[in-house]
Amino acid sequence: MKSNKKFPLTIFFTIILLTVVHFSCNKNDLNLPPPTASEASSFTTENDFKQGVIGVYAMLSDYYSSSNSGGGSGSAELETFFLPGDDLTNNGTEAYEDFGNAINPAEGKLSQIFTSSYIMCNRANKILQKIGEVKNGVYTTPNLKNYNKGELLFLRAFAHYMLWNLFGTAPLDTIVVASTAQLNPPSSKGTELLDQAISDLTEAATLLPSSWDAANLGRVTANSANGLLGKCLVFRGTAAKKTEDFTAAMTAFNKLSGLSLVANFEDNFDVAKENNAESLFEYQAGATINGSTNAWLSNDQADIGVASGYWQCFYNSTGTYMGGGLYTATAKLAGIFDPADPRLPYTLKTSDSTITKYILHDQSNGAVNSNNNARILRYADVLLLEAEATLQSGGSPATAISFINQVRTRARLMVGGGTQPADLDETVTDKNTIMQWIMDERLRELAAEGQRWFDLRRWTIGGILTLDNNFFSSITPTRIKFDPHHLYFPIPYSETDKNPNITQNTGY
Amino acid sequence: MRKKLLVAIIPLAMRLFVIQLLVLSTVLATYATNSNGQEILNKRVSISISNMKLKEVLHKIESFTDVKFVFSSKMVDVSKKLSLTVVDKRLGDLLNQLLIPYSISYRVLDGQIVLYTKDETITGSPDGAVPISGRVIDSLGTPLAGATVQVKGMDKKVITDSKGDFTLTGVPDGATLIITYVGYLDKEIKARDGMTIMLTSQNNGLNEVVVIGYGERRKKDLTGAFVSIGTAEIEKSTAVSPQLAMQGQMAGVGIISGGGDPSARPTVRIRGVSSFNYADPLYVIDGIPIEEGGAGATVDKTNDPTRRTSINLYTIINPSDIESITVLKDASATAVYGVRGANGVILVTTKSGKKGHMRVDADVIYGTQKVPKTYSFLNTQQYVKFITDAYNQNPFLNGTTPIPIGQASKFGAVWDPSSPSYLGNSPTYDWQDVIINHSAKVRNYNVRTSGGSDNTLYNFSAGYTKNDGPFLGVNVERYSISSNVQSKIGKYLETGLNLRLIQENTHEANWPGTNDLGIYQAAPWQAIYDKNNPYGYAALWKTNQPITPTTFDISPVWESASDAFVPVSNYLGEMATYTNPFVHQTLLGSGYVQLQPIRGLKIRGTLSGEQLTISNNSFTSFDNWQFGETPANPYSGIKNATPGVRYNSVGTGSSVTTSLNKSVNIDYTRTFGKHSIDITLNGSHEEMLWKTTGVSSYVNTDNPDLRYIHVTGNEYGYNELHGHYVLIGYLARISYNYASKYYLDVLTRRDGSSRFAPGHQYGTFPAGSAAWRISQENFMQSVRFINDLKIRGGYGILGNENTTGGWQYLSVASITPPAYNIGAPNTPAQGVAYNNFANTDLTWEKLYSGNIGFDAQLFNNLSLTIDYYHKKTKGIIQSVSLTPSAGIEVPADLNIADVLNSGIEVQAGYNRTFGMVGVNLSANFTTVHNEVTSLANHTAIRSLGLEEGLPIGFIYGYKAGGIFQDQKQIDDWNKSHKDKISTQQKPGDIYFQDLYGQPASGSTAHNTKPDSLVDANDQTFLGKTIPGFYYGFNAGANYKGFDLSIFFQGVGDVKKYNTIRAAAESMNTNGRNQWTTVLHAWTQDHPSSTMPRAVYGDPNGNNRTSSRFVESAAYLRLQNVQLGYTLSNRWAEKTKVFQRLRVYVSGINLFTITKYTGVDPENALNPTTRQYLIGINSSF
Repeated sequence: MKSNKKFPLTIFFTIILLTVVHFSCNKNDLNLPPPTASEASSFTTENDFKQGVIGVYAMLSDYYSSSNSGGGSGSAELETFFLPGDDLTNNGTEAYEDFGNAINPAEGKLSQIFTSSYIMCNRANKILQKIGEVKNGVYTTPNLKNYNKGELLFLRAFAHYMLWNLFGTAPLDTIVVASTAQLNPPSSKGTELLDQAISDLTEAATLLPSSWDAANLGRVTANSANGLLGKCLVFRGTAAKKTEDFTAAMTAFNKLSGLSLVANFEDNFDVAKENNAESLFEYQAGATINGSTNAWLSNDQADIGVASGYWQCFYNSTGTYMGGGLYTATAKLAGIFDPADPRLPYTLKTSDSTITKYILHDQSNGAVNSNNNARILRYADVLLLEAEATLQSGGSPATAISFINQVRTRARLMVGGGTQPADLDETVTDKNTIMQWIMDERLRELAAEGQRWFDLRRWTIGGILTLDNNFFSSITPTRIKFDPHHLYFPIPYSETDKNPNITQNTGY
Repeated sequence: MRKKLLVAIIPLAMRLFVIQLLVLSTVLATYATNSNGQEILNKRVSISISNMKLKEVLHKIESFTDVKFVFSSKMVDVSKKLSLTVVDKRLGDLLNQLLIPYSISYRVLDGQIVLYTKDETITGSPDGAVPISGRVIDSLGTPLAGATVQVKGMDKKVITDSKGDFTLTGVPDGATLIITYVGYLDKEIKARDGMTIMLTSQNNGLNEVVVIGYGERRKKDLTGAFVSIGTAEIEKSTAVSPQLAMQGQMAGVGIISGGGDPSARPTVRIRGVSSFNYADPLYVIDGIPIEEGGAGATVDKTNDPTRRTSINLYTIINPSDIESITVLKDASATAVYGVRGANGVILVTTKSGKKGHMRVDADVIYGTQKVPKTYSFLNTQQYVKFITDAYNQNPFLNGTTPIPIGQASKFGAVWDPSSPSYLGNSPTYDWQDVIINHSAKVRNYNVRTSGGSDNTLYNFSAGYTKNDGPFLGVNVERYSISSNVQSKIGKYLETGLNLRLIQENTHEANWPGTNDLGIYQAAPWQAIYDKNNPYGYAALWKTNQPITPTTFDISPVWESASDAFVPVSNYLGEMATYTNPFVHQTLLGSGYVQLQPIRGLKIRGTLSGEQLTISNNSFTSFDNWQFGETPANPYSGIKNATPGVRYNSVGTGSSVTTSLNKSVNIDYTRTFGKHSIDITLNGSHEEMLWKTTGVSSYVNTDNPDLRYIHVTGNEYGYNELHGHYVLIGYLARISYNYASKYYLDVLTRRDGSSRFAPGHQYGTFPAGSAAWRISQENFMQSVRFINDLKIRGGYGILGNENTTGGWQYLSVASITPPAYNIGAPNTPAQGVAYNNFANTDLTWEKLYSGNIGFDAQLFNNLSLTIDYYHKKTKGIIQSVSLTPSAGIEVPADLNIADVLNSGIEVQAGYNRTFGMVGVNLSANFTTVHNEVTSLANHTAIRSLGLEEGLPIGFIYGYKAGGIFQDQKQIDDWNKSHKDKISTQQKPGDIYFQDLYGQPASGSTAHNTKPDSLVDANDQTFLGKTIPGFYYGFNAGANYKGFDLSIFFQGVGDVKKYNTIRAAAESMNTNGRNQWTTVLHAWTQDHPSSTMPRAVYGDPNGNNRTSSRFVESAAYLRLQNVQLGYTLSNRWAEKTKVFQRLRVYVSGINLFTITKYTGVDPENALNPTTRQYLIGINSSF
């Protein structure tokens, strides 16, 4: 009897013990190894950071390629800033050519460029956060940590610069969203977006190298940062009518080194002469891994689409997905050139107003996209900005005019014995005349490079220009329905629907 | 060091535990010792009672021993009261002392003590008449031991023995016997020697044991909302899917058949739809919660493909192996499954052996099935005229000149009545008929061996099922084997092993979406067969041979294949050039060891596992393109394709789910006086691994034996997806009752899930319920018509975590890496991006569930259960695109939406015998109110049928006003309206209602001020797709050996957008065939107020999503009629083979009453089949 009683007790205690053991050994089982690479498992090597930075650069494709990471299907965002200017026109019914009701908060491309800009910021913010936390020894290449940080600040600044130019009051984005409570940032005011860009670029300029080796060609440099910094300051100075910004811009431009105008204007649009001495910042387009560029796939994949989308706008008229056929030169653009100006044939074809810039020396790789870099900031632009900054900061008119003349001289000397464009008279002191010269020269020099709308916009905000329907020199003038509220494109519904802290721009 | 050692020992200990368990359960299953009734009678008891009725004394003895008494109140005289005190007395002696004075005898049968009045006929027979022998069985043929057999009008009674046999002497000729047995209906039958008497169980017998999840309860003791069905109901269904056996049978359980395809997944929704994500219930088979890889949200949210195949996983259970299915409906019932309980729980209990001689059951079902209804389509002559007329209403314009339909350049000569190849002269081809399998069969064979001694119970079964689908090429073939052994080892240990193996071969829809009535779309002139085509089917496309990779230039075979009227894919040709069989293999097993160290305490360790493998092998012939509407270059995707080589595509995929479940369960039951307590503690650990892989490539052979993928230069696809999931759960439940009168159940479950961020993994799910068995109160004793009445209520919190694939807390590197050209211009550098929102706060959806109801037994024959439920799901996981300014590309899973479900359920049963006729009736009825109460940003997502205040999945569209009968009506209408969708309004067109204006910026709320414009803003709620109520009722009768049952089920208050009609009455024809109803289209001469005019291109938008195509999908279906005959015992005995033999004929889905114009309100393309069956149930 006694042994019989012991038997169940032994088993009883054995089972209780096993139960305890069973659960104590399983407690940690809930923390399973993640199935995929994640932030938590990354940023342990320098390469993780390098790849993270590439991920931010890749977002430039959304601005300059024919497709974007969110939209796909040939939804070139560049339409939103290439088409509104008075340099390009289009015979379709495109919102950004016509203005009018078609530019509204539901407009898809606006939503895309808005979203893309913030994706770029978010990616930059995340890697910046990681660089801030990186332990010693992870970065092994000397200075690379600073360089990367400078690149990220530059790219974030560029996104803010684009947001200001398109929307004006879009929210700032300098944090990594960690909780849903941080999801609804308020509208920015005035030039806050430019303020942030200026602050980031000021820091970036101190971190970035003056140049990169061949293997890293195309990354931004101290020149890129100082150039864009100066440009942002000129923009803010114009919009806010702040003289000290123009002075500060001069300071930034004076830090530029090693830049010069290349002998031939056309080299700036030649696929074989990318990243030349005149270049400060380019979108690095290229043939892709499998050699094809599919405009209908997102650029966020390695085998497609790191390519320039303007090809479809200027050259290939087969599709309408960029908006109603070719982007052609306005009569205003065709007329502003002296017929002997050597830049003219490299800008447009007078016979049919088609754009030749980028196209003549292009290397198309596929029918839609081009692997010719889009030039975002080049020295000629800087010189003209310097002219403007000098003029507006109360500097010597002669000095201001001399900057313009540098640009004109290069153009003139492109052909042996060239006479046009002649130097402007450096003795003129009338500010309005000089400003008009600057504006006209910017149109000639920078036409079809995606700069013009931003210029028109800031000059109008700053009271230097007055825009009306006739100003845009459209191919179908009756369709233009410009109104001053178009200087601030509407904040897309995709944002306002969800974010209660946004104030819509007036007029929408 | 010590710690390390411990760490090393722990896994070893765990492994040993597992091994012990397996060894014990297998080896000891056959080990047995004897025990008999003497053991029970030798129990020692102490009891002190004063002035108590005998009945109460017996209950009291029950309460402190584990002895059960079986007796009829009629037998035990309860009026006299007695007092006595005994200490440590043998139970047998005590019973003698108690019962002899009342002339009551007892016998121990199956562990129960059966009381009966002393039967003098056993001891002697004064007139020496020939004795009458017989056997009493239940409806399954199981002998009933301890039943009372009485001669009507006489004092002769006898109790059946353990084989259910009895012998009565001195029975006069023509006498009637009355047979009574607890839990069964009384039966009167004319006495005859050698008779077998079948008793019908009282469906709602209060002592019926119900499986409740981690335990069992007698029905009378339930406090939560449960509903169950047994073999009687399950056997009536011939479906391969066990879920369909529940359809219409259970209040609160809504089942929508997947249609005629036998392996299609039915939709099961318990008490409404509690989430708009994964709303499937949890299935627990013999205590093992089944995890299906790919069910619910998948792991990879960016590459989503739900790799869960379309095959119903639960076909792994052969319905004929099922003993009972219990559905847990309210929180107090389902909270034992915590985080997985929110959608309800379905407990499947398979058959196990019963004590007694070995018994063999063999069942056969054989029958035919077919599509119950087809569509009526235009024949070629009607079709050609119809299309010509419709086209002429709105022809293409060349400038301003209409292009006539016969114009050769646009249409080909086939539309020209003067041409010899005019379509109107073509024969009509019946496309619907050719797809139907006219010899579709249902075959089901099952054999089961079961039995047991006092210590060992066993059940082995094997089954074979082959069900064809209603359409060609669709079938399921299933082989199943199961084994279940339980064994007691000595006094304290019990062990069991349960194994189940399934092999299932499935041919589902051969070419995606074609093995159904969708084939109706083919034009009636379009030829089906072509003798000259190698496959025998008419191709749509031809090309110059040999075709080459780069010059794949095809032209249509059909001259009329203009851009206006294209033929439809020849599905039969596509099927002939494509196969994709699935093989489904499942191993399900569990073993346990149970220790009962002291009375009432059971400690059980269970190890169970499942492995589900679903694999498929697809083959697409190179020639497949010929038969499709939009042919693809068969060389596309092939690197270095060689002209002339036939590249056939092959694909293979597999999905393997492996899960292992370890659990320890401690249960303690004790009764102290009138207090009964049952404590259950459980700890479990489950791990599920899921892996799917798919490879596709090319082969150059047509030989089916050589279609496998090997390494060539032409692999073109490989993918793999993993899932990994762990759930740790702890459960504590205390059930208390006082005198079977007042009940209180409190339980809590704590679950830890790997799907959530560390620190956010554990959640607690409490529930409580109480019941008052009011009929036990003294004051109710005088209410004679109430036999039993219990009021109960409960409340609790449940979870649903299947709506997230997990890992949402990780900031993951995007699967497609971003790239940018740094350095060498043509070599993109690969980057990385972290594109999602790492939501560390994400948690399960929480369901707050309340239930109140009562169970009643009235008038001895009527059982009634009524429940009210109210369930609110909060924090439904909605995948939300975040504000763009967050810069987060991937939509994030947020706990954001709420849904309410409430309703009433009624379940009633009635059983009575009238003379020789036994009647049983049962009915159930459920109402569902479903409402989305909150959505992210209050923004309606109408494309998914989600809007606050409306039910999930509602139909959204325009409201048709009527049909313009003349131009004046059009002009009048246009004075105050403008239809922005219409480009042409003519008499015969529909006008749509202007209900709303432009909504406020950024809002999806309707602007209730109409704006005279009919545009997208005027779309509105057109109906709900979740039935407002569903019901079923069953009527059965038996007379002598015959039994008949008739079962109806239906749903009501539900709408469906009839997509088939929307296409088949579109009259906008692009060459698709139309229903013959379009012959009643509006014309000047024959105006219609319901069918608009026929016009090509639909310029008015008559076909926009509107109330025009919304129909009631309510139906009442005669689901099952069965007539059976059980051969008499005498005959069965004579065969010396059968113990029982029943043959029956059965019809399934015999008719459906509905206003729905499709072929089946449940599934309009793949209707549930009508079946005629013959079946045999036999026991040996």
